[in-house]
Amino acid sequence: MGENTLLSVEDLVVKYFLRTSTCEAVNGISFTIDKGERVGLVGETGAGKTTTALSILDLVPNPPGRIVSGKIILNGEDVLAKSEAEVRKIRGNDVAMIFQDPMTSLNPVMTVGDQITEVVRLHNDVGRFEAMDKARDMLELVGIPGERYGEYPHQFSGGMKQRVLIAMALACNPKLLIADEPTSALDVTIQAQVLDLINGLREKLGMSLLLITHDLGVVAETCDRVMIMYAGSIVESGTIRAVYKNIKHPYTKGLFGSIPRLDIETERLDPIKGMMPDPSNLPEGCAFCERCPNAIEECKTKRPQLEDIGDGHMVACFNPLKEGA
Amino acid sequence: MLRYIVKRLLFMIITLSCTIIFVFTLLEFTPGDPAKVILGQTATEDALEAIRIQFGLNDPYIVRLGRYFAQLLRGDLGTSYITRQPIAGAIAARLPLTLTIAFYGILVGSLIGILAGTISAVKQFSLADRVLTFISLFGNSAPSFWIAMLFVLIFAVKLQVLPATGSYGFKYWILPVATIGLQASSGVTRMTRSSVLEVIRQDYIRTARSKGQVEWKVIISHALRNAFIPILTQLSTQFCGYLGGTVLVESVFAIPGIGNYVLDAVKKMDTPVVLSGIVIICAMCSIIILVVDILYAFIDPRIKATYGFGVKKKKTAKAAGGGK
Repeated sequence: MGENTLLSVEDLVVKYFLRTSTCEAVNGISFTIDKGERVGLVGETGAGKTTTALSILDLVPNPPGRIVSGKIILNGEDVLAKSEAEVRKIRGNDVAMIFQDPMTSLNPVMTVGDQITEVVRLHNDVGRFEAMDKARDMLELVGIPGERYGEYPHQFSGGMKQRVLIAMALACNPKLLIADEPTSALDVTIQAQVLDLINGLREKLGMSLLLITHDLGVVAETCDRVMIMYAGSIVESGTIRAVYKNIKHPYTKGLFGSIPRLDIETERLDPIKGMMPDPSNLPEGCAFCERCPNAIEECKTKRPQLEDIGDGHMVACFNPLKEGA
Repeated sequence: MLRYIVKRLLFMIITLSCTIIFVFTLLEFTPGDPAKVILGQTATEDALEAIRIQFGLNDPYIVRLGRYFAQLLRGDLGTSYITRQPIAGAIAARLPLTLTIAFYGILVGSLIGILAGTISAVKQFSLADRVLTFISLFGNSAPSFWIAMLFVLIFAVKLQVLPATGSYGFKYWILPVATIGLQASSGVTRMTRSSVLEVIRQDYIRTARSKGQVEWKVIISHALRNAFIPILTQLSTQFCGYLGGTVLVESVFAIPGIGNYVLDAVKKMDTPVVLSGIVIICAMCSIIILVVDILYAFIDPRIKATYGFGVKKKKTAKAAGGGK
């Protein structure tokens, strides 16, 4: 772990213990985020991205979920070893999170200003009026007039609500901002605005960013590094350049194949065939084996581990794609 | 908001009128001769006829109905056949007692119920949840008069710490209030539990937790207020129910409330008392429901917006937002 490392997740395992089955949401993933670094976490719905993010804040809904093993080291201290009161000091302060659906993520019966003031007062030793001023400043920072402090969420549009959530997340100058699909629920025109806002403020405030998305285009524009997640494991990771120029994992290739392109003439998109395996019943070997065009005998019995293939480009595959494939 | 209230008051008049017509018609079909109720079974036919003319009992149905409405508009609730006393005075003497007992019962019930329901929801499937759910199911299904008699047996007969019957002050109210409170709390517990359970799964609760807020504050300031609308609805219907329906409790504790008054009138065929008593109870319920509807607006700003409150704010929202 380097000097510059802000967050280091080590061998994290999270399971949801349901009545009839156990859902293996995150299966021993490890990654680091450096100070000021922007990392994208990409994968399809149900891959365990949100669970990973919630684990960092120790907010996995329990029951039914539980972090079974692993370490989450933030600034050299293990979050999971801390008491509930100590973790609360981290939430919203050192690590803040923006959620997927702005429509439902704000309390409908509380003014937006009060919701921001709440987080300011939780982590700063300030009086009520000072905190309210700070909340107004934060609203202005995300492009909402401070006079709208006393308005309720239903008086804002979706994009504006996401701005409020961003203001709330940034109110205590977090070191790490986790944005969980911050634009999925928004109009395409608003998506770009919100992403620009997040990016601009991240630069201004010097935070690290963990951007969770299923949009590879957004990652390419926003991040330094990307991690591809599939069925609770990271299957490929590396710098944007390394991964995008030299795709190694068949799943990553499949993800790219699912994006319509303007520069190549094709009749149909080439999506990945089949479905992600049931996380409560993962196969013995590689989880992608069933859908993988490159699968070999070994894939059925053994789980591939992430291996460095140079330049920090990691891939978990027994039969990776050849250069230029 | 004012327009909304005026509109609701107009609706209330329509509701009341319908209730009056319905009850009046229903009483029309009850067997028996009102004149005989007034004078007794031994009265002569001449005397009965004189009474019928005096009270206008020979007039057609529609005339008598119209007369009753006219009388109500003058603020006159009529005269009892039995006591020959004005009904308004009798009701004025009894209504406060019923209202007080129902109010305190609901207050006690809501305090206990909201607390128990919240604990039940937050600790779902725990031992506490199971015990509380069992108790509330028990309280919901046990008849109120049975609970009332149980209380009398325990506190008045066995322990002899509280009076069993009558109404001469605070001490006499404890058992009736406890009876109503226990039953009200059962319904409120169940409603609170389901409502809070629904709310604590919402995204904004997760947002509140992600800010680093303490769990009990998340529950009180974020969850409960959002869960409160169904609870308030439950409380208001229960309150209305207790206005007319405390009859059983009033009977057990011999409280001279409005329920007992109307029940007595039904037994004695004192139709003007029955009619006016029901009208008053119905008016009370309408007022309670109106008050609760106004309270909704203060709990949930979205409801307030639909009542036509804060028109100015809407304009600014349109000007600045608009991308929805």
